[in-house]
Amino acid sequence: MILAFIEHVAGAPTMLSLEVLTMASRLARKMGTQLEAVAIGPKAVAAAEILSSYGVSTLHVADDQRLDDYAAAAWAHAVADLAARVNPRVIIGTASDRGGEVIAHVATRMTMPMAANCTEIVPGDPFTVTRQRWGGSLLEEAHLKGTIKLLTIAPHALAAEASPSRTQVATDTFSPALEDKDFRVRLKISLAQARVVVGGGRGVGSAEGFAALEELAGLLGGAVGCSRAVTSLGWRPHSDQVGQTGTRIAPDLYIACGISGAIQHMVGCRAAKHILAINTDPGAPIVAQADFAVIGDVQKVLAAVNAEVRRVKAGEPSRSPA
Amino acid sequence: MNVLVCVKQIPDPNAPGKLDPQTKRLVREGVDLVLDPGDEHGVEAGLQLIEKDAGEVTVISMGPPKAVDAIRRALAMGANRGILITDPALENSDAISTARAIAAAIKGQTYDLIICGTESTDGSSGAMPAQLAELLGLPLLSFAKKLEVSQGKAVIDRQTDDGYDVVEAPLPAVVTVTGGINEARYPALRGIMQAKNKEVKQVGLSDLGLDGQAGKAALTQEVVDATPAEARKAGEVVEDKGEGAKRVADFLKALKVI
Repeated sequence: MILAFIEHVAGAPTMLSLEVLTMASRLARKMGTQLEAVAIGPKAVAAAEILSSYGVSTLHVADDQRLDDYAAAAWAHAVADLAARVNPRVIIGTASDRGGEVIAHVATRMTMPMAANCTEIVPGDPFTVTRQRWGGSLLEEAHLKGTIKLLTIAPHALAAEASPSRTQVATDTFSPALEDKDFRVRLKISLAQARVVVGGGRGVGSAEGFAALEELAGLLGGAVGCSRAVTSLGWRPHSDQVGQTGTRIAPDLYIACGISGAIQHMVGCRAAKHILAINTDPGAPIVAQADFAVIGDVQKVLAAVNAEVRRVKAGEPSRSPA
Repeated sequence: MNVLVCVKQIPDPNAPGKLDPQTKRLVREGVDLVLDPGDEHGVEAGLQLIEKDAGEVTVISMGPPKAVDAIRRALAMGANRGILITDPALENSDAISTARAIAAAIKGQTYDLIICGTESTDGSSGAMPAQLAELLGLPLLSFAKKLEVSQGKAVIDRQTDDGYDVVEAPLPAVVTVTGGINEARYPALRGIMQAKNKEVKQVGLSDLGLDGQAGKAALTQEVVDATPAEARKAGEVVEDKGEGAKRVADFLKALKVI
């Protein structure tokens, strides 16, 4: 049996978890085994509806109010407890900030090998997995041993695909034997940001030049980010930086303004679903990796884009090109 | 306040090396080896804590004997002492082997905080800190883009995929820091000179009492191939001749962003 660890928001599986389920159901078919899922917190029961389109036969729900807030150690304790009871051959989760951490805790609790950021899995003895290294710029093929394999799937390594045929999902609610020490990490506040990040580089021109980016981010309900060059110049705080270790972003859309796209920066925004670049240099690396690129002056283009977006949002007809 | 910072020596990410076609590992010979830039932020975070409060920063690393250079770099930044776990039998260690070795090497010593980067720039698995926390039985505060320590507690801003959380835990704790937490200092000449005389303790597998539990003897995975990942493909490129904004708006509409 394959056990997929599902992250959810009030019972709705996250997009990355649907990608994991897609990978897991293909793997289960290849291995000729069943796919079951585990989700944390009482609200997870609602996920059964969607999981029925991903070939899941049983949804295990860790039922404890204290699990509602993210607590890696406690969540891992719940998953490991369940695994000891249902004995899966594979435990698979997302390589999100949460999934990667929970699976790493579970692997350690169970003393089982883990492969992170996988993009492909070929079952057998041993498993052959392809996984991302160097922030996704290198693909490594590795053999993985162990009676239980723990895997995390790199974001957007494949598209989530619901099956047209639905399964009957049995729900198994269980109460893990949690300890106080599992809850030493306490969540105080959670601040969600938008699915759009407007990033600025040296080409923005100045600290003041970021006003146009702030405006666009405001119009799109997004956040502002920047390249390392910009924080070094003192134009933006370090916390806005995209592309250094751990500051990876995975928004639906990354709008790169006046950013050349150095290796480190591209590592940071690789997981963005779409990239829109605005740059004066048609030869900039970012242009070669963008879904759509406008070659022009950042401030000029942004002023016009902001005006156009305001018009569209106000329902006015767009101004014809000059 | 006693802080332990875990660091790693890696090939310079700004000049990525070639893959050895035989071993499928990055060629280390003739390549500049540097302290992982992500770990510089960990060292900086540790130094800022002891500058505010009294205490010492110890830097620990695992790698070939050459990895001592990465430790020296951290000592030149201002860390007090180093520990290098080095043993041919530890070559090709995976995250859990590394976590076991570090846990064993610091056995009996107490640290208020253990700081790691969120992931190594080369390996990128990000599993080691959680595994170390689990082995040591310590709480893990991860992806910190802000860290404050007071009254026996650490409070962080935890970077998430779509925002950030404010999270706290009692000390001692393991904290992982992102590159967004600080600007790492550049070692001054004086620091570089002083670093030469700072203690770096070398320990091997037998000192750790880990025979059979780490490194080659405990290998659960073996790398068989490696290839550069495919870059993102270019989409449409338009020269802005006045209609660029309209085209951008159309693109945003197609993505349902507006």
